[in-house]
Amino acid sequence: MGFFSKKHHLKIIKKSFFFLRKSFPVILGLVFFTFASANFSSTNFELENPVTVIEGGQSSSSSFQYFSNTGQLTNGQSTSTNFAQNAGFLYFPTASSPAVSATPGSGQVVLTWTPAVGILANITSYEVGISTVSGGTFTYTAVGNVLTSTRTSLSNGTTYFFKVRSFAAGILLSESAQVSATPTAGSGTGVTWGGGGGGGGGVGVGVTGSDTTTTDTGVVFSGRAYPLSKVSILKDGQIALSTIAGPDSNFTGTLGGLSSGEYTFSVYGEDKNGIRSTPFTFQIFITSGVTTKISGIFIAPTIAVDKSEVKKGDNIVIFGQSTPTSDIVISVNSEQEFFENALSDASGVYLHTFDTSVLELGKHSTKSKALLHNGEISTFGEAVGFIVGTKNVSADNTKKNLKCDANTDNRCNLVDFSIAAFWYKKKDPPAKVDFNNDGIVNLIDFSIMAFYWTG
Amino acid sequence: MNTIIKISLASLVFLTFFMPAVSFAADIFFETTKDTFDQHEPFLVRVLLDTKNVPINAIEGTVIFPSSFLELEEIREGDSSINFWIERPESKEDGEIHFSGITAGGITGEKRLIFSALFRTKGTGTSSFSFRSVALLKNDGLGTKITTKEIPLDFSISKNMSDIDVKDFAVTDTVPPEEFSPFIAEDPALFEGKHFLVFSAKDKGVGIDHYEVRESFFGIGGRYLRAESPYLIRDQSLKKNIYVKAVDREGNAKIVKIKTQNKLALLEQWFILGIILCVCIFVVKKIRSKFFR
Repeated sequence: MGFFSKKHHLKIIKKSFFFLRKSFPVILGLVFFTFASANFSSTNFELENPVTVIEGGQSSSSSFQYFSNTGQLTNGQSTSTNFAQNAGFLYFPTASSPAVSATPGSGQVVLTWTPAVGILANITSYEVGISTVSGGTFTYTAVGNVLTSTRTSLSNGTTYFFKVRSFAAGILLSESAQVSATPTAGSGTGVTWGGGGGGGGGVGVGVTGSDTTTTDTGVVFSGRAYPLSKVSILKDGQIALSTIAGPDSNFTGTLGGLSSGEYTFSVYGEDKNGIRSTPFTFQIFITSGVTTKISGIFIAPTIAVDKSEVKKGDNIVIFGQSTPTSDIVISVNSEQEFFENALSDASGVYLHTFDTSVLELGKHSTKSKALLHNGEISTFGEAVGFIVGTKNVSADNTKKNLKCDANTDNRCNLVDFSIAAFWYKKKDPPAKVDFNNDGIVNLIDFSIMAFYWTG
Repeated sequence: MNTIIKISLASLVFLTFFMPAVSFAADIFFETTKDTFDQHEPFLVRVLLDTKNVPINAIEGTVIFPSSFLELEEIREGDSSINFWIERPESKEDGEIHFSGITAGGITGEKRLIFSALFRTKGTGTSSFSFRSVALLKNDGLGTKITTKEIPLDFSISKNMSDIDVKDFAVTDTVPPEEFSPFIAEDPALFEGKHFLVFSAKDKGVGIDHYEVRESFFGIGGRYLRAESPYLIRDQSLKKNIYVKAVDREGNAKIVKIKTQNKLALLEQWFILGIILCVCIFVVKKIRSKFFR
């Protein structure tokens, strides 16, 4: 004889069924809206059996800015032409630090800066900080989503220090290095900046007032590259200056003898292996008789991989050079973007071993950026590609492999431009000038050339 | 009938919710100081670019202007954001200015100047400037084309006669072109593999007018000849110094010297020195015979 009677059994089954019926939506909810993710670990911590739970409602705007906790049924990035959503655990938006130029005038300083490039965020506004003490307490003023600002009512002869910081929907994302300028009576007065914004539009540009100073018209560049690396500065696409960075990776360079007008400057570094960085490019209006200072140029790290093809599941080594003892964020592009961290050593070299088990078969790329402890952040450098396949093939990092080097001199400059221009819109061009292999030299080939330009 | 309504409604709902919004990544537009002009009035039109924070490194297109209403006086590209022109802005067809060029590393900004053109009105009425086939390519190493909004500019010409002269728009420029670096190169595709010279200078004032090249031994002799890049070097032995002169539209010039690439052989050096010595002796003799007869 059993512990309970048959009638009692039936009652329990009925009660259980009733309970199941009542709790079904909850169970269903748990089944569908709660799921486990892979463990997260590092040398310092381990997050075991993480669970992502859907919560929150619908959010939308014209430009889609959303900083909150949300979820979806699988981890990873969802994209569309208008926005991207990174599901799973919270992702932290960052932005590169703007490089700031300061042009003194009489009782004023004109500041222009490069756009902060948001990662997982769109920059919506900037603030300009001013101080009379180097590194001192800065008083910030919101200037909106612009790339230039004129600080007026300043005392001539006093050195001012400025910083620019970027925001995304009110969240502080990055801050520039400080730049100094000393307003002087009669220096560059009456310069008309037409058009406002956009890094100094330049409508009706010209010195309209008295310009009595005898100061050379020039630019002083300063920033960070790699320890003892060669830094090249291009003026309107032609090499105007080369300098060597110090052991701390800091560099400065002065370019004089300029005219008043709009200039395009590009700065790039070459690491200890001869790998060139992505150029840091910006346009600026140079005022006659004034020396403009451009500070906070933070050259992105170089990057290379040890294998051009890696067997799925094997490790690939990602390495390069940046400023010493900086945090390096490495992005590995896949269906899901992976962010890895490394630390550069005293010579700026970083190295990271990445397990390719999580990558699908096919083409991938990786890029890196550097973060300093003072808050300065570089942009991401150029991406380097690799294949996840069925075998391991070592990468030949001795090859410079410039895409636009038509005369194979390991440079991409006016000579290559002239050779490509000869073949412009002509039939059957040689492969060396048809950079995208579409059988014709057209604007696309010149765009590829402008991207890889070395001067 | 019901089915048609259902399909229409479903399509409407689909289009409303799922069709991606069309967004223009960059604007190309004109700028003038005003939009109504008198007859025979000169005015400057600036062709500008708003990149919407997207770096653009290559551009081509055509500006269309009404030649029945406007006379093109001059095209200015001295202060352009374009580093190197593939096709310098030029009016080869009536009522059209075609251009294409690149900027290394890309242009970013709200009002980046491509070029400006000086016009003079003729006739009366209303017309407009417009663009045709503008292509803007992203600085991404792939030449990705960016959706571009081509913004036309309407203007009208009144019956009043203008007393403004074209000279009022003249730019005073006494500054020579910028320093530049010519290169000597060779390529099987160009000039049958012979040595050629490439050069490009910028002038922030009125712009470059032309280039001249001179080849000479020790800077003696040789004369400047008008030249365009790429230029076929006459002295293929590369034993002569080469001088490249960039001249702006106001006549200011910057001369850059490229030192001889290959040194003269000892015999050649003695030969040239001998000729110079002979010339000197000849001149001295002539002077002596004239003054100490």
